[in-house]
Amino acid sequence: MEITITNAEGKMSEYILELKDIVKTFGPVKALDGVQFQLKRGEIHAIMGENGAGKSTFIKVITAVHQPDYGMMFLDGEKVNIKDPIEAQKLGIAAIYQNVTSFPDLTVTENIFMGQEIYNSLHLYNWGEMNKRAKAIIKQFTDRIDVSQKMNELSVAEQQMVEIAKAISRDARILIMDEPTASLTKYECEELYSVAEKLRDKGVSIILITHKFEDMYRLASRVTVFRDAQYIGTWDIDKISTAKLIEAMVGRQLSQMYPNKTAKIGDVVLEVKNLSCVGYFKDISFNVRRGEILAITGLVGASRTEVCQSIYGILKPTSGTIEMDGKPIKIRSSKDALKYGIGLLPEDRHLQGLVVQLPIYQNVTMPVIKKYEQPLFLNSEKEREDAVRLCKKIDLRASGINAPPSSLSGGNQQKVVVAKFLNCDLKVLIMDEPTKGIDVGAKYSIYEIMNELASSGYAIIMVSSEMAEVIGMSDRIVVMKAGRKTGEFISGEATQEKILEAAIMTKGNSRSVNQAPDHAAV
Amino acid sequence: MMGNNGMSAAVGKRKFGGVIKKITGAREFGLTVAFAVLIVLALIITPDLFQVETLLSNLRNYAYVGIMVLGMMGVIITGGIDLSVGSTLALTGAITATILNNAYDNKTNFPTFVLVIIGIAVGAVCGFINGVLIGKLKVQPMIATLATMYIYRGAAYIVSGGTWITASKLTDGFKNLTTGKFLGIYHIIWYLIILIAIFAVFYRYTTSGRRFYAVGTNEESAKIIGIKTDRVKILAYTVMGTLAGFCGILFVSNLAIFNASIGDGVELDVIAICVLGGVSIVGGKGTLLGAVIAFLMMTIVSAFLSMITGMSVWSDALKGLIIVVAVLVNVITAYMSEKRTLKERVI
Repeated sequence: MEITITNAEGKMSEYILELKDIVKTFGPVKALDGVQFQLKRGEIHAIMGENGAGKSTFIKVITAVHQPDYGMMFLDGEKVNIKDPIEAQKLGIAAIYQNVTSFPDLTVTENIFMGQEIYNSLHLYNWGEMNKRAKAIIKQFTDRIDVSQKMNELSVAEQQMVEIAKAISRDARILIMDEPTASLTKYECEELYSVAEKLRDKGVSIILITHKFEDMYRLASRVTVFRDAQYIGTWDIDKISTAKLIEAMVGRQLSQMYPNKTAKIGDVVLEVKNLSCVGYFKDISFNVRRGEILAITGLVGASRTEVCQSIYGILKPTSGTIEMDGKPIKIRSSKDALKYGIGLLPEDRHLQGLVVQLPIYQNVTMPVIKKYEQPLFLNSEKEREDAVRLCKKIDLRASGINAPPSSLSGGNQQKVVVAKFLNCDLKVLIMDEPTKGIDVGAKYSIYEIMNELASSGYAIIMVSSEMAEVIGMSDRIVVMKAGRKTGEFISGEATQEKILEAAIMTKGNSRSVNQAPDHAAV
Repeated sequence: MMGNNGMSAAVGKRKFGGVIKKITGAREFGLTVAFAVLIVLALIITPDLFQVETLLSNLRNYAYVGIMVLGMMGVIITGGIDLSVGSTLALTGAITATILNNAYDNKTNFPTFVLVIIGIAVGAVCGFINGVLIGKLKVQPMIATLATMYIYRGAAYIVSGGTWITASKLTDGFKNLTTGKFLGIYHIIWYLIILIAIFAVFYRYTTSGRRFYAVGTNEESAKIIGIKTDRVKILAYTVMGTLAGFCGILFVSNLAIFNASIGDGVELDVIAICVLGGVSIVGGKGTLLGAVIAFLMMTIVSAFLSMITGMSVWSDALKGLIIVVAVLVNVITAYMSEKRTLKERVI
């Protein structure tokens, strides 16, 4: 779908979209406090800021999901008052939200045409025509997607492509992408980048909300920073340093992205030998030492998570051995794993790590609830004492130990999960994507906690897709690709290029063989 | 070139495997197999069952359940549930029967089609009330319809005065509404067939029908995209109520008897058939085909049990067992197909 922009001289303003002095409050909370923003025609403009800076609210003001209390919005230099999301769509504003907001049980075609269906002469759905057009639109971006598939059969990256197709089918002139790469692999990110560039070249103006500097450098030409619901500034990307940008985002100077590690590395604690699990991975061997942070990286679908789950007793390996302190051990369940001193911080905090409605202290003591058993009742005084001590140790920012984790930010929720395991007397802590979806400031404190744990003798296995984090935090790096170990590097030797090569380019590329199990495995 | 060929072969194989998986993975497939097994079993044990007359008379007595399944499916797809359908059925039955009773006492003749219109209108109002409670006032579907279940049932007792109304007071025209035959098949079965056809188109080809799925699978995005979710829900419950109202008339006409406790518990039969037919109880998923097969299956089971002496007491227990087995089979096939794909995967 071609989008042409007629530049009637003088008549059109330089900006396709402009917002001034936007104020939005929710009860006593100021979500936006006099924010401004200008989007040029055909540019990719990044908006950055910590969680809670007001980015998401701002997007919802543009798309008219929220009405601002105060402020003005100009489209093509003309003042507009958009009533609701439907009107925003009609004006050519489309948004792809952080959690893809599609209809999971409906087909790709139906998702694209929802709200703009094509009918036959009897005013019934014309499935044939809709499928044909959907195919044509999707094909511009990728040929992997079959339009008759249901959305929930697609990967996150593919679902995003569908969302983009949906926006394009509605002649979007302004496309807002909210954290589009948050759960994409490096490879999928590249795909998304090229789609975004294609759209920009066609004249679509894109607003990119992101936590990742990589996204911003790769795509955006300008960046606007919000902090604490306020507008901080807008810069040309090539005229501001990363350090300055981080300073603008967090409001203080972070001397570096990753804290220095001081832990002394000791003996091998956990050793995995030729571990295999049919359908997921084969012949995986590695070890981790006391005080060491070992990173396991690779593309999503490399089965990194599955390896961790096997060690933790969730997934049953089909062959291979696991040794603890030189002695082979059998782990049949997570209970066994905890008994041997192995803990796992799952990737999805909400689904697997926390009971978000229960008070913090009960979450913290949950795995070792037996410790507090006494005749008749639990010793909840001791429970609370322990919880307070642990929360102090991890520097938790909460209103108290009775608050539920649902009231915390992502970073603080992650800290609660960490605290939960600190109570368990562990030797090995496996952390699956520990900083996913967490803002810069909170990331740093998670890193500090990791270093502290390493210093006190924990062996840490960190699964991460974020290259910079892998290089910045770990002592050793294991790279996996499609269920095989394809490389191991000592942190000093590792470069982004080397890791990426091991993750993608190894001989015997079997990537195309079968995609379905990726989804089945989830 | 070689590599390319290999790849397209792999892709082809995957596509073919995908088709097979789609067929065997479908709920309808499992149901059809179970259905076939059941029929063979029934054939061996009670050959009598498979006389056309027996089948038709059984279908005739269950048709009203089937008609309500068509509406319940929509309600469940929107993420809701309707416990009040049995009571709605009783209420329209009560109104119909009472009107006919009075007409008989006054020696007048009340036209049947007016009765039908009244019954349908009453059902629609009952459903509409449910819809407003749930769609507009955001009451939990189970709570809202639990309440109206009692209210409508109570209304049925009040309207009918708690009396029985028997065949002698019903006009032949009214009885003929269901028990008459066209092409050798009872009218009531024709109603079922016609409604199945209408709803097949409704759920697949109309905006309103597809909106049910959209609301059930992701209500938030439905709102963002401009779908008025409250109206969609009101429509779903109103359709359900209308069908239940229609069924109230059919029920009285078919059995030529009324008391205010008719249709007690039928809502659970209707919901069970939907679940058996693969309609997801959390909304968004389900096909008419699956629901219809499940309905036929349950009908056969009931007929089957009623024909073997001493087995009718087993009816409910077996229905429950069938649901458990059906769901288990689903879980197991899903597990096996996952295992298989894992094994096929090259590492």
